[in-house]
Amino acid sequence: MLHSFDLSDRKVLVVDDEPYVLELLVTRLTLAGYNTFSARDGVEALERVETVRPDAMVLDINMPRLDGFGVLRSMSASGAILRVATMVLTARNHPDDVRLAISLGAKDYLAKPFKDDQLAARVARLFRRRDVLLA
Amino acid sequence: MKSISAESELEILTGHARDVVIVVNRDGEITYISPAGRAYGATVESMRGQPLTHLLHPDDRARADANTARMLRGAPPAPYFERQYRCRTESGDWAWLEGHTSPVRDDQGVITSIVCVLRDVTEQREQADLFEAAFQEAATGIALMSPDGRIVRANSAMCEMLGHSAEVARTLTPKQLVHPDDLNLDMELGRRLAKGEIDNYSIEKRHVRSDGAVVPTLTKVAAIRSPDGSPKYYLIQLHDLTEQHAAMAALEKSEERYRLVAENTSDIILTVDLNGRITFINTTATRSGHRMRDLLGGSPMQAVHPDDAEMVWKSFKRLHDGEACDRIRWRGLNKATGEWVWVESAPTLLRDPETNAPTGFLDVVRDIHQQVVHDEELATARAEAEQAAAAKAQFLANMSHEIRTPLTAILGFTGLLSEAQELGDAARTYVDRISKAGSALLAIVNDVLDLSKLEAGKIDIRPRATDIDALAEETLELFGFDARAKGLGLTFERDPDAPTTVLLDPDRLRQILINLVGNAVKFTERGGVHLAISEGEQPNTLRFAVTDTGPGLDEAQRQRLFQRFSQVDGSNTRRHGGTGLGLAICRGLAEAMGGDVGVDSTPDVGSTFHVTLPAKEVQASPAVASDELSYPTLDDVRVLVVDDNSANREIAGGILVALNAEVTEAETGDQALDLLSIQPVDVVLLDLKMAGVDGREVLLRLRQTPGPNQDVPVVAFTAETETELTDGFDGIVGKPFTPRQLATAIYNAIHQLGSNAGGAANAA
Repeated sequence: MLHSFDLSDRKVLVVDDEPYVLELLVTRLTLAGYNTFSARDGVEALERVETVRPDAMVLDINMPRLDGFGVLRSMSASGAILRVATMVLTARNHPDDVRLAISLGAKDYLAKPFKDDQLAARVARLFRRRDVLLA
Repeated sequence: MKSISAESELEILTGHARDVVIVVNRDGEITYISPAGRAYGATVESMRGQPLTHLLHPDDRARADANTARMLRGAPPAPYFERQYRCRTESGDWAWLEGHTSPVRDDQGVITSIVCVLRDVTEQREQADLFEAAFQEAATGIALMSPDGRIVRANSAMCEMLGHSAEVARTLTPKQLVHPDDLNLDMELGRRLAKGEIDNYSIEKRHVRSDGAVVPTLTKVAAIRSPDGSPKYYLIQLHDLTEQHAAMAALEKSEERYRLVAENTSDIILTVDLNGRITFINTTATRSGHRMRDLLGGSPMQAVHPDDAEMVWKSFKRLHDGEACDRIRWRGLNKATGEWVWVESAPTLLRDPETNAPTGFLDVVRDIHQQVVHDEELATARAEAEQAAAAKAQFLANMSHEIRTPLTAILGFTGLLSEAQELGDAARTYVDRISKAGSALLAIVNDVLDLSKLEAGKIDIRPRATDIDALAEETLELFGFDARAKGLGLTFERDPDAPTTVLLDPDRLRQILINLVGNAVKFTERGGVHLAISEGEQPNTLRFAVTDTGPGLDEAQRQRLFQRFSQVDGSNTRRHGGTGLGLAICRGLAEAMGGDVGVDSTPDVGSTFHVTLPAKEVQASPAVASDELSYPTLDDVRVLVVDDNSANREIAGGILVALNAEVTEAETGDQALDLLSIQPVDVVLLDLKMAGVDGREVLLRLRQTPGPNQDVPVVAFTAETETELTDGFDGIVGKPFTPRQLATAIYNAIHQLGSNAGGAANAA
């Protein structure tokens, strides 16, 4: 059903330091029709948030240089979190991690490893707000 | 005394006197009675030649005779009260007359006659009787003693005190009444009293009763003096101190007891005055090297550690201000060793019993050093253990992360691969195996994490509709390759009476079965492994039994079986590998699900491991299975069900769970908003009519407040039917509802197909 939308004008930034996982995420979301961009750590993510200006972001927590919480803090401070609907990816599946991410402005979370259709469903959820506003 | 020269002269002298003058000759016969005698019916005429005693009361006659004899002997006269006699008056009453006798001698000094003057003392006697009564009835023992040490009179209290009759008392001297050791106590005082240097004295003196008992007394002695100052009598008063002494003795005994307690306790007991000076301290203090002479009068603060001094001082200050003070813990100086020792003390305020004003402090100081040291060691040990546990948990979390990340790629790319069109049948089977093995590996990783969660009681059990046959077959398939390689049979059978679809957590059940079947295959060399599923003994339970034809277990092995890190045979470890956690996890999971595990085994024959779990049969899923097209799938959809009616929550939640949704419940609007602010969900089923914050208010606040669910689809859950009431909602489920209506409304809301949803136009 979701595949029937034209999603190419919807920009998703995917951030993960694991090359295979990053590739998987990009492949899945591209196949789902999103205009997908990638970053390999938190610092690069913050740069791309400004240059790409994505609508949504899938953000890994555990990363070198700057982790996902750092990215969220920075975007909360700059206000960027308000225009980029963000979902965190967590391998630890720790309730405290999720609570912290939500309190820092994340809209959702997804535990690794995820089911094939879960990723697209959650990303679709991130775009719901824009649909409502555009309507 | 002159001789009487003329009787007429005597007449003149006595004629008007009231005193009766009687002259008696040597033979005791009355020779003369003065006119006053008429008052007593006695005249010279009527009495001449009669004995004097004839006039007296019969009881008094012997006394009168004795006194006459005394006088004739030349002895001193008896005391006045011995010389009082009763005479009958003309009116017939008895009057008291006191006699004064004088001898009349001739020129040669020979007594020729006796002159007796009788004076009416009735009035004095009545006065005296009053005094006598007072004397007799006094509570104090009173005695009159002559200067020569004879008891002249003793009152009843005295007689009673000393156990003698008044008659006997009169015959006694102090020597016989006073305790031999105390006889000389007041010799000097007695001498001074006799000499007139003092008028009286008091002294504590023991007396002896007639029965030999010792009577402690306060003895007061006063002198009654003659006009020349010489003592005429001694007035002795005895106050019995027996009771007082008993009370004192009791007091001393109790003080002794307290002293014994104070001196023998291991606590230091001290009192301090308001100037901060020690006024009392027991000798226990000396055991820690302090000297009594340094302590008494000194400040208790000298033994308090400088770092604790302020706290201790403040405690005393608070007490003084009338506040309560708990036990305080501080370090005190052991002067003997020079070490600071942990002590605990419980200071209390001492008050004047009458004015209630504070007078000082009482403190009981206890050495708790060993205890504190022990507690500290325990705390250190506990901290180390907690650190170790935290390190373990951290390690497990890290390991989990490290393994999950590549697994994410493996499973993810396997998923992509399986979607590829160009795969052949064989390749598709291999891809499927990779996927299943990857999932199994993920399950093992989860096992390890689960164990730490089980230990912490934090395991998550998510029951949902589960097809038992499919789950059993899937599990056995995982071991198909191994079983075939060893030539083992791998069979499965479900009792026809047992339900096929039940409510339980399939992931946890799979975990248990993988463990049990995996072990059976691993340890069995010939024969086979059989999985049997039947109804449990309790209603709504299922029993899963894994039977093998392996080596079996003896009693001792069975005992160790479900313990952590324990394998039945150490030598087996190398042969078979494994974490040794499997059965412990099985037991923990089964218990967390409300069930239990067990084993029946016979050595050399085989074992049956069984697990029994609550497994309520559910109907919703079979309906999905039989009518798949008409029911949308809600796999992994997170639904928050908000309703203040628990029955509604249960019905809606049950249907959604059966459709594989993850359901969270809230029973008030406030609770719903709290949950929604921290927990992302995919859709909210919201009752409109609730006490407190109602459904519309929840929706309004949800949309106004930034958060993870600000834009989440919300389906109205209501008995109302007008559509305008649901403005702003993404759908409506009317009460009552069918499972299909609920599932469809939820599905449409998520996929923005609702008539009210803004995305409806796009979705079409």
